[in-house]
Amino acid sequence: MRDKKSKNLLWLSSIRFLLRHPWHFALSILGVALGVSVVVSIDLSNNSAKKAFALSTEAVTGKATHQIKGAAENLDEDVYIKLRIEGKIRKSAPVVKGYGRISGMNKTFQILGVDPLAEAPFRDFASQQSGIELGDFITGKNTGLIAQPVAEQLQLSLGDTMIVSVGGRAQNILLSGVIKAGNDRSRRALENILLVDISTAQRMFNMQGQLSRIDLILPDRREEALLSRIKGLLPQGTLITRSDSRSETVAQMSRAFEFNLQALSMLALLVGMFLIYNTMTFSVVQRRQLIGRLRALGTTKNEILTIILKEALLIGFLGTLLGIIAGIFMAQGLVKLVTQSINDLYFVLSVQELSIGLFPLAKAAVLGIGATIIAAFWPAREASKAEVSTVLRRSSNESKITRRLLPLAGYGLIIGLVGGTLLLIPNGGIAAGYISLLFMIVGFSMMIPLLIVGMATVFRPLMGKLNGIIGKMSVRGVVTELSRTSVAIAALVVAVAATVGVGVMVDSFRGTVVSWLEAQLQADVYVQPPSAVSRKADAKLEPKLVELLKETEGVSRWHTVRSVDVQTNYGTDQLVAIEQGVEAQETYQLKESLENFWQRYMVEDIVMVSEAYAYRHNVSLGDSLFITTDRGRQAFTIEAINFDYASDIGTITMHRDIYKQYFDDRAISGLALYAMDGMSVDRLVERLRNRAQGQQEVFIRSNKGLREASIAIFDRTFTVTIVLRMLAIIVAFIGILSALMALQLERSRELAVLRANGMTPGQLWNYVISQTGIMGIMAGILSVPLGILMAYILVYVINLRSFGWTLQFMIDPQVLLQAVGLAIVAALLAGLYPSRKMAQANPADALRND
Amino acid sequence: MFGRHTTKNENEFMAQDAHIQLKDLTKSYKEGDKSRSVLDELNLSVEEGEMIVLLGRSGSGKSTLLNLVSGIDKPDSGEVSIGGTDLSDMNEKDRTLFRRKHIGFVFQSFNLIPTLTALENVLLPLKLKGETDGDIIEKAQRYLDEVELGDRGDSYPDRLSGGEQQRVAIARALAHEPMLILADEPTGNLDYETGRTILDMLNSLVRQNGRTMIIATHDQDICQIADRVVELKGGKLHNVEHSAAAVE
Amino acid sequence: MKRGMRYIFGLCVIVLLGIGLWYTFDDDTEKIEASVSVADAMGGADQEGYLRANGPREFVFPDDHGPHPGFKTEWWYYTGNLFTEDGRQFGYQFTIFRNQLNPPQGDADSLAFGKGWNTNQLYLGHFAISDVQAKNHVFEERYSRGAAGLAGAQTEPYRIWVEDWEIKRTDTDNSSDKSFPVQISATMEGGPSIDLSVVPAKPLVLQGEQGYDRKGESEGNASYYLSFTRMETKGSITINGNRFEISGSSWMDHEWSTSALGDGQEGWDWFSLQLSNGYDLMYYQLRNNNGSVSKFTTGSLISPEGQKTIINQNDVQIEVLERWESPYSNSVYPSSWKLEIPKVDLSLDLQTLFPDQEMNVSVRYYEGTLSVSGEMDGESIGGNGFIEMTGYEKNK
Repeated sequence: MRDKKSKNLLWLSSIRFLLRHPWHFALSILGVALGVSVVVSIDLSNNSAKKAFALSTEAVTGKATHQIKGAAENLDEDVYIKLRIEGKIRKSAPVVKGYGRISGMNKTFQILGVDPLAEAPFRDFASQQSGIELGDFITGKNTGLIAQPVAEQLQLSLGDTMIVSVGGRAQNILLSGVIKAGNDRSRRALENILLVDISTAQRMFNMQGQLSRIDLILPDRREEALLSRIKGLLPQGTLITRSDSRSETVAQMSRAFEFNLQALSMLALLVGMFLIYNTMTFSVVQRRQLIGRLRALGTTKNEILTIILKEALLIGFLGTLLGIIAGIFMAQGLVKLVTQSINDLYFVLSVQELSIGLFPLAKAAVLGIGATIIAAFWPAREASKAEVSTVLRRSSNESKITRRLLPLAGYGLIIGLVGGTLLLIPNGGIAAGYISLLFMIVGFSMMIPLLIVGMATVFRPLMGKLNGIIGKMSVRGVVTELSRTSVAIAALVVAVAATVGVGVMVDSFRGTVVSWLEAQLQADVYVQPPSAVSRKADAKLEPKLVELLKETEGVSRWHTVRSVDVQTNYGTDQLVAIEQGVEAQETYQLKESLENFWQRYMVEDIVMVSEAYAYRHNVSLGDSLFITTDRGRQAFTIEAINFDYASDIGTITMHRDIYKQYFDDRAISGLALYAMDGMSVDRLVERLRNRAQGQQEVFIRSNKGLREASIAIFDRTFTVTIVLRMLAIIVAFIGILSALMALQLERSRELAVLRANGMTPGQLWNYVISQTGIMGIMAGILSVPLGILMAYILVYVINLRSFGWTLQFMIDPQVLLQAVGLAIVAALLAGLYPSRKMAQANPADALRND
Repeated sequence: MFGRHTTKNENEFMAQDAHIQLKDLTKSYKEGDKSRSVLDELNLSVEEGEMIVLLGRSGSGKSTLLNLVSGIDKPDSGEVSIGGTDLSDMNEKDRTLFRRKHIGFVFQSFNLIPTLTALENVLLPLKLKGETDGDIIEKAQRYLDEVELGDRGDSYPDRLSGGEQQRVAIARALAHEPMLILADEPTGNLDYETGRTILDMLNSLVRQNGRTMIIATHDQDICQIADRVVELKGGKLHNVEHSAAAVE
Repeated sequence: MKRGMRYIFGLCVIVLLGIGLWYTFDDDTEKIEASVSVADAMGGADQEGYLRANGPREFVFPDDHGPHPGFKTEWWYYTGNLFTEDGRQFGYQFTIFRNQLNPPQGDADSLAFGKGWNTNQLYLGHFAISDVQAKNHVFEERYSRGAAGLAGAQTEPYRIWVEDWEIKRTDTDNSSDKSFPVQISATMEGGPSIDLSVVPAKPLVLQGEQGYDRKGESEGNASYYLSFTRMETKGSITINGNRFEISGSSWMDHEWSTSALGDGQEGWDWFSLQLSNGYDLMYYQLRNNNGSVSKFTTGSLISPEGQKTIINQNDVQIEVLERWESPYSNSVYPSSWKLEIPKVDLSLDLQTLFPDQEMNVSVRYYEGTLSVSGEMDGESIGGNGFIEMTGYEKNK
């Protein structure tokens, strides 16, 4: 009680100081806010996407505990009948599932075909008990149900016809009802579902006699017994799995993506922390006198420390609050980008609204406040430790810093090396990659003061020549105030280096993909049906259309491709069956292979896997892969590994003949055509399009067109990264601004003395601008090696560990020049305000100020 | 006007029950590689209620000595005993706590807390000492009244003249009724007139309350109000004969 | 002052937390609709376009034992009383209903089953066992569409089934025989099951006017109604994990119609009694909303040789002696009657063997085994029977 009273006055004296210098206060808060807002927005976007996915799978999986799937894509419906009647498995339900678009809405719907009479235990909304009109539903008319808000959006009422497009074919579906969800949660999730009868779905997807899967509910206590009984009734090749394992797999796929986003957001927070450190240091330095007086009066070191930390807490709190609110706003926009990327890459996802969970906000609060306290701790400690007598004497402490430069740099080097060794840990994972990156950044930052001093010795004579004595003074000034200038420069370096790093990584990636595409796309024209997930071919070309196009005049040769999901010993994987002969070696770039792979793959049970696949499942040449086929589980030997940037989950490739041996599926997912000599590709495309008119809706693209489309998807995916880069830059800019401003304002006395001694305002401008410009140049120069180091780690460690891709490291000198330019511009801009203020100020005022 | 001085003891050497006792005090500072000795086995005894003037040229170490006496700094060797407590043994925290309870300081540059009002400045030592809330505000107000700034309690230091600031500083130094008052060039930043006023005030208030005081200055005029004058030369203290006429 | 600010901050945090928590703990409860009364289910539904029973007609067998698409509703209804060697009694009811979802559209309307999921027919199964000794009544409902082999009714070979509940003809030699034996097998999810061979012991009875049974005033408010009033039954019953070998007597009703209860009709009481002297009595009392008995109430008495005597409402005096209130459905059912038919010198005391034999499935009704005792022609007689009651909800 008594202590609290005494601290009240201390707190008062301290907080009033802050309020009298609102800029500091505001900038510190802004720094935290920016860092926190980026973290929050990324988190919320990720979470919303995950939640939307979980909700929609939950709604669609319903209460099913297990699922039965076929070896290849689909399952014979007899299996269900047998299971239900012979097997007496009551809690079973047939499901036909796919994707389509309803005209009038630019959104992909999940089309769920069910038997409402079997649905009661599984999905309330799909059960006949929820009021589905059986007379309309199961009797042969093609009818369906959609969610109320969707019906409103499409301006449809009961009895209207919807035009639903599946795999390019349009179907008429009568709107016979509205999906009745039990509660709010499922209602949101069901907004992208079109509910139809099994019969209708079979027609829509051309799956007569087949099902996508059978859902089961097996009570826990009898699970073992039931499972073995069921397995006995299933034909060879069908698989029964727990229903949560599927969402687990899919969730895993996007984890790498998510992780990377989060790491980038942490980067923003890190830069924000630099900012805090900066401003706290300045505010403490400005209060040296105040602190000294308090100490002389008998305030203990701890009391001082506590006060400053409490201030930091206040700043942290306000900044975090602001950051959370800003983050929520930002997330609204960001979630669309994230969803789009997930859509492009992994699975159909539609996020209706931002789900603002408590956990991400709490996490952001802890991070924001925590980061502030951590960043403020050192300056606070410094302040409290200062010897009172020194403080009262008002001499600066610089000599101490200079003495510590070498050890500081030494520690920095050690930390950086530790970071480097972390990379050597095998199976370190992505986390180790980022931690090592962090270590290197911190280590490098600790070496910056030493490097600045070094650069200054070079710059001084140069600036002397360019700018006379003012030039020399401005360089000297950087060194004399090293404890402050080095922090500002470090913040700028880290931020700019981050942009360099990410920029180089994206360029490398892009460059690799572009050159890979060039090799991969050898044919002249590519025909594909539209698919729901850009990266996954899940639709089929109509055989009639394939024949038609193959026989078009101008086509010299062709080959087809079939892409399906199969069950392997690693779970669900993508299998591609190709028809090319030995000439395939022109198209596919092999990382490794056994001898004569291309000659043998047409006749032997061997396959090629993509690099990402090999990485994910830790397989290599000679390993066996077990694929569940229509003839049962078969072993295939991996005899080649190829580069493939189209998919991060990995692909297995085999020859179509082998595929035919083991699978009954004869469908075609894609057609590649070669033009005759002399035939213009564009004209051929025209002609093909004309011939395809009125048939199934397909994409007919020239080689160039497909390449461009693929790159577009790539660019879209990285939009998120670009947005983050910009945010990091903004944070850094604000940091520099505040740091430099404080720096100059603090020296107002010194500058006033200069003015009093006859320096003109113009010369003062010169001085300040030169100094900040030099700081900018130094930062720019330093950001290059750090940036390249970061890029290196991002490309060779993080990307590799996230996805397994080998990327060609490409540094475009432009990126580096841009970085240096950015640093200089930022610094110069930041110097404008203080210069103006200093030049305008009356020196007498500054001198008088005690 | 300048107060009579009571000569207590011609002999400056140890009386065991002296209020302030400095024994063989040594302090030196590092400057770069060299070490400069400021105080060299210095000795001093001060009785309770005595007003000592500490003379010395600039750079002679007066401030250093005061720092050691107040516990702001620690001697290289020797003993600093105040009211029976030996400061030289204590760690920094304990010295600080001692200081806030038992020592009042008046500085040359006033050193008021610029973000606190005059009243709050006077209140601060009371709060630091940990006295209970109810009466301390009145107490602070009383001291402010004593220095004739009772109506300026709400003003911030930047609104007060130099003399007014120093008066607040004096009130502050006295408010928590410390054992010892130290003043480092209290009139250094003031013009002659104001300075005289301040000294009067300082003198009367301290005498009234029977406080022990050490004033460090190079102003010879102050000697007239002191009980004893000592000079710091060559790191040691020398007694100085003073009389109204020894001003030059 | 500062402390006040702190309190406000604290409050803000708590409020934020509270909002967050509210978001997380979203309410997840849902409710299922209660089951529907028969009158609701059968009353006033759209009947346009369906075939109607307009008058007596020729029956052809075995075809007419099979399904009659075009008519909205049809059922094959089996009840019976079965005894173990020790005399332990079980009652059972096994019914398969066919419901047509849309009016017939020319030839396109078929019973299509086998591959393909579209159909106009919906099949419902009701299966109940009354364990008299334990006073335990178990029941289950099942339904499926009449497609993809999940459910259906066919004449050749004769099979009426809903998933794994089925009625199958056991002798396939004499195809035109209208009195053919069937095998009934069904298992409930909980385990209770029956596996019975059921053989007609008396010839087929054409109820009403040669099988045409009027239920109400308007044209077509009638059904075609055939019965086997006594069938020898042998087989096994499993309940509570115990299997019992049993034998006894069953009753089969096969009706098809597009009739509903007329306006003003509340429900019915339907008695099927097998008397120890070889006579079988079917009495079907239709009740009106106002409490009176409809004039379309009818019955038949079948002699041991199979002769049918029509019993009218005027011939019968029936008095309800006791009632039972169902704890599940807000209905009060009679549980004990005195039935007198002076015309044939019949006087019977009827009592449900234990009260709770209500069927609480998607339509609600009472189906229970009865004890029968009394006098006929001066002779003391006993017997077994079943009572089906509908329309006893207290407030509508």
